[in-house]
Parts: sequence; C-alpha cells; structure tokens
Amino acid sequence: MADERTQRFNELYRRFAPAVFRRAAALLGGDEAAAQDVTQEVFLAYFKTEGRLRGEASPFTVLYQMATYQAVDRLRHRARWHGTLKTLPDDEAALDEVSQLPAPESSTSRVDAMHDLALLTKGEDEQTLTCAVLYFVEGYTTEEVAQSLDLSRKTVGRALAAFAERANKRAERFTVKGTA
Amino acid sequence: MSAPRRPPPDALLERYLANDLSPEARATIDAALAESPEVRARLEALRADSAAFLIKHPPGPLAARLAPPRRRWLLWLPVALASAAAALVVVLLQPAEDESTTKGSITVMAFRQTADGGVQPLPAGARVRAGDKVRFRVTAPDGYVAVLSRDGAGTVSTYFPYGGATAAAFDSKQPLLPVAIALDAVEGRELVWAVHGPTAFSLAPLVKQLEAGKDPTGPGLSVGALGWEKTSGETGPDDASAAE
Repeated sequence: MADERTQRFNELYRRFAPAVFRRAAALLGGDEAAAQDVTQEVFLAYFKTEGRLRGEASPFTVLYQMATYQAVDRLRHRARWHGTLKTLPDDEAALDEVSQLPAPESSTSRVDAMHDLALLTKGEDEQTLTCAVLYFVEGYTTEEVAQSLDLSRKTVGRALAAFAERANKRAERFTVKGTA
Repeated sequence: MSAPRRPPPDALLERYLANDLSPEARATIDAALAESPEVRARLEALRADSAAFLIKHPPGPLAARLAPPRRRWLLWLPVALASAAAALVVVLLQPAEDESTTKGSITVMAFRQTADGGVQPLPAGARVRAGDKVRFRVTAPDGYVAVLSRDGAGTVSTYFPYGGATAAAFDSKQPLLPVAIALDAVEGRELVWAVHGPTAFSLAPLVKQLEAGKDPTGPGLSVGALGWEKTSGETGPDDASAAE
C-alpha cells in the first residue's frame, strides 16, 4: 500500500514537479529556494487531500493552481500597493470580448501589478486567484485561461468578472489609505 | 492568409510537455510547433529545464516525508486536547459546545490549514493569527449555505461564497467548503456564522443584521456559529507541535 502510494507520488512528481517549480519561481521573481519550498508544500499537500477535495480536475490543473496560490500567498506578505491594477474590467461580456487585456509591458510594471494582485486576491480561492493572475497580470486571454485550467470560457469570464467587482472595492480602500 | 497565430502560453506548453492535454488541444499545440521555431525553442527549453530540475531535485527525499495518512490525527490529539482545554478557560462563545452553536439543522467547524497543507481543528475560542488560513466544514442538508464573519473591528465579511451576494449551493456530501480564508491583521474576537437555507437566499439582510451587532436570522434559515481570538504575530500555528 505504502509502496503504491510512493510509486504514484514519484510518478506524479516526475511528471509535474518541474512545471510546479517553474510556476512558483516565475511568480516569486526567480527565487529558487522559495520556489522549491512551494513545490514541496504543494506536492505534500496534494497527496494529503488527493481524492477528497479535488473532484475530477486533472492533477496538473490542481497542482498548478496550488502552486500559484502558495506563491502569491508568499508574495503577499511583502507586497506593497502600487495602484497598477486600480480598476479592473468587471463586465463579463467585455472580458470575453476583449480577447486579451494588455499585460504590463515592462518587467517592473509586471512586478508592481503582481504585488497589487497579491493584495487584491487575499481570501480568494485557488481557482479564482489563478484565473486572475493569468488574465490580469500575465495577459492570457479568457480562452487561454480556460484551456490552461480545464474550465469553460464562460466559467472563467464569470469568475473574473465577480473577482474584478470585489477587487475594485478593495482597491478603493488601498487607494484611499495610500498604503498596503 | 490567416492572421499570425498567437504563440501558446507557457501553461499550455507545460501541459503539453506533461502529456496532460486532450487530443484536440494537443493538435493545436502541434500545429503551433510546426509553424513556429520560437515555440519549438521554448518547448525544448522547458524540456531541458525539466530534466535538470529532476536531477537536482529527485522525488525520493520528498516521498520519504509522506506520512501514513492517519498518523497526523494521532499527533494532533494532544494539541487538540490542549486547545480544547484552553478554550474552556478563554470562554469566548458557548463553551459547552466545542464545535459551534447551532439554531436549526446546521453545524460548522473550522480548521486551520497548516503549512504542509494539512488541517488542524480550531475549537471554539481558539487563538489564531494574521495569515492563518482557515477552512470550514459544514454539516447540513442539501440546500444553500453562506459563511459570514464580524471581526474585532466590527467589519462584516462574507467568507463563503467569498464576497458573494447570495448563498451558494451546498452538497451535503461535500461538507468541507471549497474556500480557504487567509485571516487579516485585525485583532480581537471574530465571530463566524454559517447560515443554511433550503433555497437560495440573499446575504444583504444578514450582513445588515451583523453590522448592527445582531446575530443573523431569517425565515427558514438555520444558523451555526463559532468564534476565535485573533492576535498579532507571524503566520503559523500557535502550537509549534502541530507542525511536522
């Protein structure tokens, strides 16, 4: 039994751990030590909850969302509000029509946007947070987000619109305070 | 002539590399690879990076840390007992009931998510810290559920569905709600209510009741409650023995 579990762990790790690590490293500004911590946490957590919490989603999408969530959570602890994402489009139809929200061009503005999004996604679930990072910071289209996470485009649009509405309210508070 | 194709994003190339795409999605990536040297180069870079990663970080050491699934609960037993005893002293909210107070057919329990993804029961009155992640387990018939809170500053939040305006559909076979709340830094006593109804219900009246300092109530609704004391400090469980 234990051998079977270990065998499955090894198999999944070899197949998905490099992608999980790269995902975490990209979000954590190339901090490989932190990304390796995230990778380990994600795999141990996945194996503790596999089959109980994850429904029928593919291991990749679950692991990818967990990695994004954990990395953004770490980022949030040191994030400062920059106001790059002051107003997010929250109309579902518009989100779907605009095939790609312009992603921040420079690496600096992308880091700023990532910090803002880390603050704006506090308390969001893994799926919503991952959709938001891919769309609002990394410039994926709703279709690409849907394909990447095995979701329907409609689900992605709805999740992003609902998130944007909540995030815009949070952003107002950050802006008023002038600090994170 | 068709417009130039947008190169596949990294997430899709990662899925391609892990052989995790549907045949249709895979065919789309194959077409992009055939068309674009840049996409081929990117895929090869990812493939080489994967090989290097697995040499540097093989699965063995991490696999050795996989504990038998039930052992954790035994490790937690003394922690849970200590926390329950502390809760009796702290007496924040109906100390005679260690899960939640209930009115009707719902009970709610809270669990703190540990750094390694496990869960640790939070008895009534437990002390929590900013950054702790909390999940909720609700026992109630199929129907609709919402989880609301009022923190030490009197601010009301909707934890489930997060920021939602109406209760979410609830499947009694899935009692662990699919949301993890990262607690903010507002200190003091935070009360949490799980509200159940047989049909969808609006949360606005309940939020108003909470903002007015009252408990949430409404026709046909059942309410379970619990609470914790939030203190400042670094993220993490207040009992070091809870961590591996």
